[in-house]
Amino acid sequence: MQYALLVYSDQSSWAELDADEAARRRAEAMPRWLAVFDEIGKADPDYSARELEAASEAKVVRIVDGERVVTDGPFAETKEQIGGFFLATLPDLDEAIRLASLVPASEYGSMEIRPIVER
Amino acid sequence: MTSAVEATFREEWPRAVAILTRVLGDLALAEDAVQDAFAKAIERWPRDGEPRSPGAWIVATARNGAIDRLRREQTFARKAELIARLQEMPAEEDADVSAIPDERLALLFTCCHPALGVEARVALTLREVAGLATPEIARAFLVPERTLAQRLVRAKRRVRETGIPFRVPPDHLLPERVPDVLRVLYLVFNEGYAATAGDALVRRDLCAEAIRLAKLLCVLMPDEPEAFGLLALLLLQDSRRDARIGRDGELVLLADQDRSLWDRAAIDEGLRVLRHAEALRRPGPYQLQAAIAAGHAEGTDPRLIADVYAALERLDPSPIVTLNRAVAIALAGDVPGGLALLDGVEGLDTYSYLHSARADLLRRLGRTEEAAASYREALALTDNAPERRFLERRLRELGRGGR
Amino acid sequence: MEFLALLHADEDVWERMSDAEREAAYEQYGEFTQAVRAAGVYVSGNELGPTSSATTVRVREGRQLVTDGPYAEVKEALGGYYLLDCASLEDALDWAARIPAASHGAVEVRPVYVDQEA
Repeated sequence: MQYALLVYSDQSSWAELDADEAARRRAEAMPRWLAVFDEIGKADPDYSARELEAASEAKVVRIVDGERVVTDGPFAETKEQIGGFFLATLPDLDEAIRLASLVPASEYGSMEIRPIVER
Repeated sequence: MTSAVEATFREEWPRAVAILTRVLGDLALAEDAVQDAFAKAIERWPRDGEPRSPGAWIVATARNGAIDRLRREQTFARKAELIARLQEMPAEEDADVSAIPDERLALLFTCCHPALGVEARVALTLREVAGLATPEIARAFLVPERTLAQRLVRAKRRVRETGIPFRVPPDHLLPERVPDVLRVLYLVFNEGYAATAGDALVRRDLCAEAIRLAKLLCVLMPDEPEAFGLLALLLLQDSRRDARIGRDGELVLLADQDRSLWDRAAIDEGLRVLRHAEALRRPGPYQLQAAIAAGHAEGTDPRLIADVYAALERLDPSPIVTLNRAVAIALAGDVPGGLALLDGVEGLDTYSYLHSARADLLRRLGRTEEAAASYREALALTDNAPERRFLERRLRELGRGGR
Repeated sequence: MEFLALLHADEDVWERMSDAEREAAYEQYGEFTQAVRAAGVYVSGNELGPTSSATTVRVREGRQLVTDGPYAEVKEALGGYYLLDCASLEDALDWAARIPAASHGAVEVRPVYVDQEA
């Protein structure tokens, strides 16, 4: 089954970080993220993943009365925002749970697992 | 349906559902097939006599019915594959059922999977593993049948959509998955033991069902000490069912219970099961809780019981364990110590028992006003009629009328 | 530049649709997918199972906590995404506006992070 593993975390402190601090944190966390990519790659060599720019950079598009309306900021006013995702074909939910719990964000944020609808 | 036939059904339902789920890879499809087979059994067995091997008859009939149904389906996606798998199954109606691998453990773990909501796990376990009918489960949980039926439909759909595997988890996952199963069984028992709403304090059928399932788990996992721990705990708690409620439907505390009303056979069995668990030398929270229950049954020194709670707290810390330890410490004679411990408990503000326990300790220290306030908080948090009457009576005894 | 378009729409509305209405919606999505493919901006896209099929995983103090349901209950839930490779944010927004979800719900457009050092 194909699964999407959505990475949620609290990005509210990101704006306060200067470039150096952000880079330092990224470097510090990198080995664990690389380990995750490694594990997911073993489970599904064709997996895909993307990291997203901060939710504060988001734009929301709606068509209202036939007109395009664009607003700044993320869609949902939730404490945690999507910071990235993984897409992989896995044998079952247990495997998806295992991989999700390896992602560092599972420790300070939340991982949401959704099956992909095959049509 | 005679009770003998009913008993056969209850025994064979989970076995048949489990086998068909293994073959079809789909719990809902399997249940439909087995449901049809049972309907045929109800029709034919009174007429033709019960088959020599009821289980094999059910499985064979379910298999044949499933094949017929699939053939009639036009657009069913995996039709050919599923028909092929069904055809590979042994089809003799008098086959030796014990030769078919017992998939009931896989069924139990599937129904108790942590990705399912707790209510869904309980409903699914009672339906598929205990073989209770939907109306029975609805009645036991005091919800409309339609609500329960919907809950089951959604639960089965979720099992399929999320890809919950039908299996006994691999060894490395068992340490976290076995407690999930135990928890469901304990929830079923508690629902029967101390109903959260309504007048019946004890719903006997659920307790008996939980014990039955716990025994099944012990049979299927003979090397799992916590399964035995849970069974011991349930037996020991259940032994007090006739003493828990007074003649006028009042709640009777452990210390005030008429011990002649305790079920000694259940106590003996519980103690035997506990000793068996302890012989496996792998302690765990349910074994410790069972040891506490055994302590109560045998009139053990409350200080020793408080010690076991301390051990339980180290092993499986939770505010509820701390609460129970506080009560035990007070029972052992250190009421201020118990109260101090209670005051440090976090996260149980909406738990009626926390407030009634605190009220009791305050009462014993003569802090009447505070005790009354706590009894009122406890009252506000419970719908259980016997518990409410008990709390109201305590308030009256303090000289402070309740609401 | 890659952009992720996250599709949000009311699941209840989808539930209550007739089969014909759903087929029509899928056709519209099919048309959009064709258009982005033809324009050479389509990277990938998927429909996500409903929130009733979501599972949330957290690890706290070394313990794995699995719960049924999505991270948060939002009225217009996340139901799918498109990953698009566009020349600019403006282009991405133009495409986003053409996604059917923009008309019945909302589309959140997020730039994909690119490591500058890479």
